[in-house]
Amino acid sequence: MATLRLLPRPAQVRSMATLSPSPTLSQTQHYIDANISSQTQSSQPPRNPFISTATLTTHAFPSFEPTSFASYPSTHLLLPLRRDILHRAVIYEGDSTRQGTASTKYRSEVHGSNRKIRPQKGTGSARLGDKKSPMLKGGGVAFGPHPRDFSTDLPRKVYDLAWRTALSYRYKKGELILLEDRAEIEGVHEHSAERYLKDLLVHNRMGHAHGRTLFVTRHFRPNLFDALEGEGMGREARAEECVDVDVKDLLELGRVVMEKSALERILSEHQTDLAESEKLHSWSKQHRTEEKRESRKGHFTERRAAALA
Amino acid sequence: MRATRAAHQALGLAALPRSQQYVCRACRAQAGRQFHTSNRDLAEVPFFQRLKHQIFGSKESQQAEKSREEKNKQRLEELHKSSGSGSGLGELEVKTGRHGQQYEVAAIVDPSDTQDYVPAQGWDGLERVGSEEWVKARADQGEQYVGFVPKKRVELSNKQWQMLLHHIMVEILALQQAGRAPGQVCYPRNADMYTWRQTRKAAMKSAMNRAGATVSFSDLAAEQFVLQAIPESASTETVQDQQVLINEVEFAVADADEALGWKASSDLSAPSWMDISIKNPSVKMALIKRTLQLTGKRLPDPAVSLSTTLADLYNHLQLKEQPKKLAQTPQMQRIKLSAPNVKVFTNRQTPIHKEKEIGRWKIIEEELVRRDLPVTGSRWQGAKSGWQ
Repeated sequence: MATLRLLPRPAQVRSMATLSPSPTLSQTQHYIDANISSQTQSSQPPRNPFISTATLTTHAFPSFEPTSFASYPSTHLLLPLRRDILHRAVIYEGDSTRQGTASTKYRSEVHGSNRKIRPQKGTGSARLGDKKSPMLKGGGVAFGPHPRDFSTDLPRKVYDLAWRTALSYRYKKGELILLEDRAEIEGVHEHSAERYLKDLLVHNRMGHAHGRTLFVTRHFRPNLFDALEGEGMGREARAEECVDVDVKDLLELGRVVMEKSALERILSEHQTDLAESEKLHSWSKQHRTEEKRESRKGHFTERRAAALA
Repeated sequence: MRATRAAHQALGLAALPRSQQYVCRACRAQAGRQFHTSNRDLAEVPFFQRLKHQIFGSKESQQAEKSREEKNKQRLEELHKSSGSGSGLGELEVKTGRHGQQYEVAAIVDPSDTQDYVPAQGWDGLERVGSEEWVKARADQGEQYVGFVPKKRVELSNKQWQMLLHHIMVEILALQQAGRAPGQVCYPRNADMYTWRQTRKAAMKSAMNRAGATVSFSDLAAEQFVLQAIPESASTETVQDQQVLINEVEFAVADADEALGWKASSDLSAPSWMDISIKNPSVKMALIKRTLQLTGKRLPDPAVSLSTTLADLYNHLQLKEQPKKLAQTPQMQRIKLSAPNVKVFTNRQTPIHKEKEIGRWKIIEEELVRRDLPVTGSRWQGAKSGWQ
């Protein structure tokens, strides 16, 4: 940012009006340096002091060996539990998933004549119109279902908050396991993959006896998905791509094993309710800058301590 | 001739686009008659003769059976010759299948030869062949899953946890002091390089500066032994011996009850030596990884995230005393605070409690005693004998 500098004043014009004593050039420059320059230099808003960090352990697959730590802001993984928002999101997803194909025939749609079955008066029985009346056998259904769209609307920001609330809930319960790399079974023959995956789930206590597991992947993983298509594998675990996963899926099974890239994709897609500075990419940039600053401070302090010693 | 012409017409009708919407019943039946689902050659052999052949056998089938028996006899003779004397049930021939798996060829047993051969009366104990599981098991290549977490989870008492954490932390700090990566503590080790004797006598001290905590061993040889026991590199082919890990835990927590008094604390609070900072990500990772490798205990991520000292980690790992009464659980205690009009009792409230509360009980009791009546329960023989 270029510093503000005053240009030399033009020659003063004499007038009849009484003027207050004008400030000198140096005084004005001093004022600008003290107030205006500093403001223009730091035009970014101050860092939100209420945002803390949620740290997750990333694991290798399939051994589930911890490899490193990954940090995310509290606006994404430390949200308070809002059951009402989760409920709204689950209902919204259920509604939009409904096929809505149940169909019955109204009395006007039933095949038949409109002829009056018996005369209005004189028969001694109740008056009847055509044979398609809902009161008669073979007639139409009075207020029966018709194919329609059951989808409802939910504000995008509320839905995004629900996504992050569900992930936060899973994180807080310790049921969100992050994978460093792809969740793919490699080096195992297709005929052994099912039994191998079952052994993996039993060994790591992730199978049916421990509440089942949902694997969430960034892209389609052929070996993993094929292994879970076997008969009886649905009661052990499920696998979904991150674009196909719902809030309900995240809350349904015992735990969620997610690829890091899938988690970052989901968090990036569902943050419309946050300000630009609170979004994941901005936070990551800031976090990395701060970490570098801290590590440099630490090195400087150690060098200074060593020098003094 | 007529049949082929009719068949050709029927096929033509089916192949050409429908010019007419309606096909009469006779034409439909004719089209249906022209198609045969069985083998036309068999029509030459009469039906009952075919049945007779199936039940009693034809010349061809009898000849085939004779040739099969002769082949079997030849194989048995060869088997007798190759094995010399004996029943011929020696080592079975091993063949390699299509996918590389090996299987044994079934032995040929001559019933007249083996005296102890008894034909099975039922299917108990016999090998079942041909089910879906059997097919899957045969197709399976046999790759075994090897996980990082041990198969059996180790349950430790609070004192044992303290000793184990001490052992792990000493090793990590020793590596850090030697300028090595703390993550090397998880590398597979040799069975004869247990370091529990050296680590138990070591003392850790937390430092105020950013250098972190320090560890001091009883002598230099002990420190050297610990550093030598932990390999500097681990190849991907080296498999972790589970027995070595089990032994390491057993040795590290041995004699926990008579643990060194100044180190292990008997109450739930963490001992003072546990106030060592684990903010360094590599130290924290090495600590939780080694704990997971040895005990199978996986700490939840929020607990790991919030732990800044070893004492915090210990507080999450230790076994907390479970409340014996529902009224002592934290949920019930919260009700006491959040709803002051609600009373939580540890015992079932009886009418006697209500009377005691209003102060009438002493009068009732006195009067009952005066009239020689039972205060609680009944003297009647058929009455329920109290809550015994």
